[in-house]
Amino acid sequence: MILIRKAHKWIALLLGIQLALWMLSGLGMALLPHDKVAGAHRQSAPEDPLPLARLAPDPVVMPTLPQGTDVRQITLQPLYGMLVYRIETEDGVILSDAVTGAPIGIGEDLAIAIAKSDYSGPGTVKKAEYLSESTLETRNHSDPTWRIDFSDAEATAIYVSAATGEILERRNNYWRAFDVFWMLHIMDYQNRTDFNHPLIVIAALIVLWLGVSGIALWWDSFRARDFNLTRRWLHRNHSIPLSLVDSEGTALKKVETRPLRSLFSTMENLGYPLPSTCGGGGTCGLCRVKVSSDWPIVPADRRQIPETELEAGYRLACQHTIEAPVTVTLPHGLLDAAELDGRVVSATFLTPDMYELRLVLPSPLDFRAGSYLQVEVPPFESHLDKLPLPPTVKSQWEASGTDRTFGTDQNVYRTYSLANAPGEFGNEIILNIRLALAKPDKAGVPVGLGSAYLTSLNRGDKVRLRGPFGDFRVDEEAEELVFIAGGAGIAPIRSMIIDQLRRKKTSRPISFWYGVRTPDHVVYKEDFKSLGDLHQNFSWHVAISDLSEHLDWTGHRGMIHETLRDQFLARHPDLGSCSFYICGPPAMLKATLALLESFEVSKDRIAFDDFGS
Amino acid sequence: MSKKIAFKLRQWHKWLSLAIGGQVLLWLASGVYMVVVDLDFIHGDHLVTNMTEIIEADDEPAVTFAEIVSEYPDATSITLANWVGRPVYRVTSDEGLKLVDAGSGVVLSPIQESDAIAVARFHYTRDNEVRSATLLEDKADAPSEIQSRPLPLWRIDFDDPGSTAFYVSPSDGSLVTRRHTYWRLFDFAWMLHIMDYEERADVNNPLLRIAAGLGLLLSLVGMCLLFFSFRRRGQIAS
Repeated sequence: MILIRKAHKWIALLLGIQLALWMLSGLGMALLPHDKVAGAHRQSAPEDPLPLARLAPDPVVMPTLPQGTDVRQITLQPLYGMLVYRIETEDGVILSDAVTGAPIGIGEDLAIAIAKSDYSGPGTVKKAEYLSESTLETRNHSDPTWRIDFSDAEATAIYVSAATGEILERRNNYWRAFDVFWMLHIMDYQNRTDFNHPLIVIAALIVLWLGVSGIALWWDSFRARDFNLTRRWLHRNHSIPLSLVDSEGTALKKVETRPLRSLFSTMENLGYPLPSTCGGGGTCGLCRVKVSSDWPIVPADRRQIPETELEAGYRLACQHTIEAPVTVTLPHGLLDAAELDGRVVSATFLTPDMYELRLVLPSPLDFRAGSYLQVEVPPFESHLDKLPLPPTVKSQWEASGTDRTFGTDQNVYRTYSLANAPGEFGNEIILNIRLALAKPDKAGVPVGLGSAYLTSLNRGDKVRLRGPFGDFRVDEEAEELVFIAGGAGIAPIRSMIIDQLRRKKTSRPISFWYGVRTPDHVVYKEDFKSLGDLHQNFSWHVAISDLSEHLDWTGHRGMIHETLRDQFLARHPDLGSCSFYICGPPAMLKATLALLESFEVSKDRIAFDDFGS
Repeated sequence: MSKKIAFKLRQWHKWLSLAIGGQVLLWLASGVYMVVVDLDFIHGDHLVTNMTEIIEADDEPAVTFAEIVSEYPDATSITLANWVGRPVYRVTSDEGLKLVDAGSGVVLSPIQESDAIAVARFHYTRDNEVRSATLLEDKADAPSEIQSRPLPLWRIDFDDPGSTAFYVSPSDGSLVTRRHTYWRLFDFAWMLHIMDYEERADVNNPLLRIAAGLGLLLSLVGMCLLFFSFRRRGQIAS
């Protein structure tokens, strides 16, 4: 569908104007009354012709035939009170007097008289002009003509053939307007007659696909409920409660909304305009908000939002209407997030599948530890061979069966938590990017777009960012802090711990529980080690889940939540004084939350980052 | 502000396309047919010949104009022409047309089936057989492809791939028009194009006017949307 949408867009850019011109000229021709265009409204009803016998002497002379040319037919007919032979030859038509046998020419006076007898309008003859060549207005005739202009509102011109005295055309401003529309319609700008020329054939064949793709896009743009008219009618006066809360859960607004309107426009009317550049097309992905995981996932959601966020209830506001009471959570900072231009300083692999991207910003970023940034991934295409990856990573990529080529044809946005504490590195920030390769059982799937894109950047390259956003933060009132991180979930946890110990110089007890697959996956070892040495109130614990090949590991083994349970929860005298901060992959997050629930830890003492990265 | 406009425009584009998109597709498809197939071919120029026969001007016809004038005192116009290789007069009066042999003065009209077939064969470029000859007298029985042409007419059907039909006037023996499959398709495309499903002639019908207006609106709204669809990145909040 995205390809069809793209085709529709590009054909429209190329030839949309021509389609609009076809529509405009078609409408113009449909609106101009045909009898006026034909000049019929200014044409007097023809008189009954007189029998020739009344005009003729007895007998009529035989016509004098021209020499040197073949005659097709000869007609004995009246012409303005005279009896004439109209002799049609290979070279044109000549007239001859049937009484005297003399040739007849159509002079100015006769032409005017013929034109006047045909004209029924209010105008008078303004001008008579002899034209030896045909013009745009007499383009279907080769005869020389008399153009007789009348002084009426529509500027009538009657064309009398200078050869036969016949009325060839009745032109007026209706016709002239029609003729311009006709020209635009058939795209023959020179002669306005031919509609089989290559230009229009090519244009028509291309624009046909604009129509076909447009119809195909119905299936992408309409939902079944759009057509449920009875329901719309029944619900027209109902209202549905909508509560708007910020990231801290503080109610911002509780309102009654009109049903079956898009969440996007409802938010706009509430005074919370969501960001968007596509204007509701579902193609920019900026109007993403958290609603409820019960809401259906439409194709546009799937294109713009990673699976983990879909599961957490994130949707594109422009693609959904409000059907039932809903709570909309605005990410912290969504409405006043800034745009930032960062430049790549370095990209260092910390583990086989995670690297640290260091960016420099124009000025130090003011943010709350635990926040995240949105990274713009512009349209790009790349290949594994083009990436400056360490050989181990490359071979891992190849072994995983991940597609070697990857890219996107539109802007997408990915979110990454800030791994540094506020002010830690001056103007610089660090993000932890886990290269999302295919799982062993899913060979051939594409690589994670955001991580692959960032991998392809070089030192000095620009990265467009928005933020900071974030709901994940440390409760400054809590007595004891417990941080739990799994894999790449380390980033916000690192930021929070360093912020607490170094900047806020807290004396609250802090413990950090870190679950990874192998010892090689432990990152920022030195940081945590030196924090532990310097701060009596800080302790950290690592658990390794994949033990088969690492028998020399002497620390904790198993899943991190099991270690947490055995080493901390089961022994702690007062869990009610602890606050928990969790970030990690979905499975780890789920298990840890279930564990805390089983220890009856109150929900408001648990904060977690559900992005799963 | 601008994204609010974009949102509204997109809604309009979507619903307008539902209202008129099908007809726009019909316009495009019928338009493609009409521009792709050559108009002279549609007119059947390839099917006819002998359309500009000359009269032997050197030999004066045995029956003169003067004799025809006195024979038919009500005549309002008299034409001497070649008809299937012989000179004839076509005499017009308020009673209609008559075909008169210029050699003998014998009235040939209304022409019979064999003459009608001879006329059709005389103009037909191919060797295919005549399949049938029908005299159409009643408007109710006549096919719509003769449009507003007056009856009666002989319809001569040829046994050829284009289902060619020639229409011959019984009163003056002339080939009035010719039809074939591609003309009939063109006529159908034309009907779809101007949305006059009855007569296929009225380009001012209200249905067409309304549809063209909606189509114009659809394309204009679409053009405005292009501005938003190609914008890479705009302001965060308006």
